[in-house]
Amino acid sequence: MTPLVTLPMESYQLAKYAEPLVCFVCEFENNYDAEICRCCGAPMALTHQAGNYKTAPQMIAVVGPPKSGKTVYLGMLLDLLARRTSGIRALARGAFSVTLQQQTVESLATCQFPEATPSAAEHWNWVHCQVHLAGRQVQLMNRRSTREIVFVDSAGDAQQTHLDNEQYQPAVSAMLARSAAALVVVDVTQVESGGSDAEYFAVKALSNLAELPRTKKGRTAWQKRPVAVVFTKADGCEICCDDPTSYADRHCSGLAQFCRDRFSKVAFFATSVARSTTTRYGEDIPLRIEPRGIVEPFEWLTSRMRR
Amino acid sequence: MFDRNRFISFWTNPRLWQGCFVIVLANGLIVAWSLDLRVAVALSIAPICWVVGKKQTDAETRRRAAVAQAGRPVAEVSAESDSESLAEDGLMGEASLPETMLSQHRYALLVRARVSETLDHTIRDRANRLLWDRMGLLPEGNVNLTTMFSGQEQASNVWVDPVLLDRHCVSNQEFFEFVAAGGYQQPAFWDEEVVSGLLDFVDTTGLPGPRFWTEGAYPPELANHPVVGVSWYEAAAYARWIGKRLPSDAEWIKAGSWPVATGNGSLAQRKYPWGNTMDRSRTNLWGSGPQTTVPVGDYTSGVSVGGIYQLTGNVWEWTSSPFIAHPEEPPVAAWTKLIRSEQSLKSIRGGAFDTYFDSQATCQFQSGEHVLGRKHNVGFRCALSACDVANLFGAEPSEIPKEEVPTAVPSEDVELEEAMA
Repeated sequence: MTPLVTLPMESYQLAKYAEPLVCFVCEFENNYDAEICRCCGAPMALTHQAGNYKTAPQMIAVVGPPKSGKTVYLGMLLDLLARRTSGIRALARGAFSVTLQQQTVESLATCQFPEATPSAAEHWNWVHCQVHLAGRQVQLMNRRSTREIVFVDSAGDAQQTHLDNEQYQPAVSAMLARSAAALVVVDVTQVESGGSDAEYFAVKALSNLAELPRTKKGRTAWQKRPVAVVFTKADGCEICCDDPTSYADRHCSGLAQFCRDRFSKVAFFATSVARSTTTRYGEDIPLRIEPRGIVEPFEWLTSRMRR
Repeated sequence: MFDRNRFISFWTNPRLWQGCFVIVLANGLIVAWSLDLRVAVALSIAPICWVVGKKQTDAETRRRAAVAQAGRPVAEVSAESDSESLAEDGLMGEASLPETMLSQHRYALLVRARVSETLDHTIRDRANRLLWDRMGLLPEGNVNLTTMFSGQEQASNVWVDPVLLDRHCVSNQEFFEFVAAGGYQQPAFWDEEVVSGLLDFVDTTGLPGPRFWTEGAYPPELANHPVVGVSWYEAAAYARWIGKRLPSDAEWIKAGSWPVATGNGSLAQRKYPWGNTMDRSRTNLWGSGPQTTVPVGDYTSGVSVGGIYQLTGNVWEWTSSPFIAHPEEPPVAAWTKLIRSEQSLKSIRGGAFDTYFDSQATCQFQSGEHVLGRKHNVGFRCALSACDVANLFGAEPSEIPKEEVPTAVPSEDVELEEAMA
C-alpha cells in the first residue's frame, strides 16, 4: 500500500517554468529544466552558474582546424592552472568543467592523444573556471584578483564548416560572437612541412572574426579584442620556440601581416605539450609529456581582456 | 701555445670564410677604384688579420674562463692536449700519458687487462680508486623490462652481466675535456655513418660542441650540471673516448629498480630508485625543482641502492638500445610495428626536469629520441662491462672498496684529491 505523503504546493516555483532561460552562449530561450541548450549545445548549468555572479563570465574562443591540438592544449592548460600554487591559477566550476582536463590527462599519461572532439555541439567540452590572477598582474592592471572565464573545446570540423557557411553551425557563430578574446591555433608541423592550410585557416578565421558585427551595444569591436596566435606542436621546431614572433614573420608572413593590420592587440606564442613522433603511416604518437609555453598565451589574454 | 686541433677547427669554420669573402669582395671594389696594387693588398689583408686576431682572442678568453671555472690552470690543459698529441705521435714517454688520462677522467682505459699490467703500481692504484669512486657496480642477474604503450603493459625477463655504471651523469666540465682534446675532429671515436654529419654538431657560435655552449665552452655557472644538447652520436663518441660505452636499456633499469629474486622465481623491482612511492623531494621533475637542470651531485636522497645519482629526474639519459627494443611480441603489436619502423629512435630513460607525469619518470618508462636530436633535457651517463676491468675483485686491499656492492654515497672530489696526494 502506498503511503500517503503530504507535500506543500509551492506554486510560486511554477512561475520559473513560465519564464524561459536564456542561454549564456547563444542567447536562445530554453526551458528552465533543459540540460543543454537546444541551439548551441552548451550545458545549461553554465547559464545557471553565470547568473549567480554580478559580472557575467567572459568567453575565450579557441579557433583552429581539425587535429591542430586544441583539445590537448586546453586540457593541459587547465591541468597546469589547477596544479599551480602561485602565479595565475584556475579552479573549475561545476563537474562538467573538469571533464576536458580529466580526459586529456588520462590519455597523455598513457602515451596517447585524446580522441578528436565530435562535431556535434552537445558533445563538446565546456569549461567554466574561476581564474586567480597573479599578484603582480593585479597590481599592474589595477583590476580584480579573480575572473570568471569560459572555454569551449569545439570541433575543428565544425569550425571548418562554419567558415564555409555561417548558417550551418550556430554554436560556433554564437561562441565567436560571445567571446571576449580569441586564441588561434596554428599547427607548426603543418607549417614546417611546407603546407599553407594551417595559415589559410587562421587567416580565414580571423577575417571572419574581424567582420563580425557588434551584437550588443557597448560590446567591444573584435578589432580591439585581444588575439593570441599560438603555434602548437612546437617541440620539433626550436626556432619557433625561441622566437615565435620572428617565426610568424618568416614562415606565416600573410597571417602575421593580417593580424597586425586588423587587430590592435596581437601576440604570437609557441607551445608544446608532448615530444611526439610521426610514424611513416602518419600517426602522431606522444613519446613523453613535457609542457612548454602553455600558460603564457592565457596569461597574456587575461591581462588584456576588458572587464 | 699552439693548439693544432683548435687551429684546424678555426680555419674550417664556414662562418669565418663567409666573413672573409665579404671583406675581400669589398676590398676588391676598392682595388678596382684605386688601381694601386700595394694599397689594394694592404687594404685586403688588414681587416682579415683584425677579424682573425679578434676571434682568436675571444675564443681563448672564453676557453680560459671555462677551464678556470673547472678548477684547473690553463697551462695544464694546454700541456695535456699537447702531451696527448705528442704521445699519439710517439714523441713522449709513457709515464706522462697515464697522468694525462687520469686527469681527463679516462681511467677506464687504464684498468683494462692489457693496459693495467704495464702500468706503474701508483697509477694503477689511482685508476682503481677513481673507478670505484666514480662508478657503481651492478651485480649480474635478471631484470624485468616492462614497456607500457598504448595503455598496456608487457614484461620480459632479460639477463644482465655485471657492469659498472657512472654514479653521475656526464657533466659539462667532463665533456669539455673531450671537446678541448679535439674529440670532434677525431673520426676514430665516431660511428662511421655520422662522420659526414660532424660539421652539424656545433654550438651556438658554430664551433664544435654541445648545442647550447658558446665559443666552444659551457656557461661557467653550469660546470657541474649535466651536459645537454648532445646527440646520441656525441654521447657515444665521448663514451668511446673515455674508454666506456653507453648502458643498454636492461642495464639502466637494473641500476634503478635493483631487482631482487624472490622465492617463487619472480623479481621484486622498485618503481623508483629509492622505493615504490614517488617522493618529489628526492628528484628534479616538473613542479619539484627549479624547472632547469641542477648539478649532477644534487638530490642525494634519491640515490639508488647501488649508489647511482639522479637516475630519475634532471635529464633523460641516452641508452644504447633502440626505442621499443623490448618486449619481443607485445600485445599492442600494431603500435609497436609502427614505432619499430622508426629505426632512428634510440631509447632514453629516467625523466627530466620538465617531465610532467610521475608515471613517465619511473625506472620502467621508456621514451625515445631521434639519434641526431640535441635536446635541452637529454644527457647521458656511461657504463663499463665488468669483464673489461682487469682483476676487478682480486685487487689489493687498498684498491677495492669496503663493500663489494657500494651503497654508500661516494666521497667528494676534494677528499679524493687529498687521498691521491
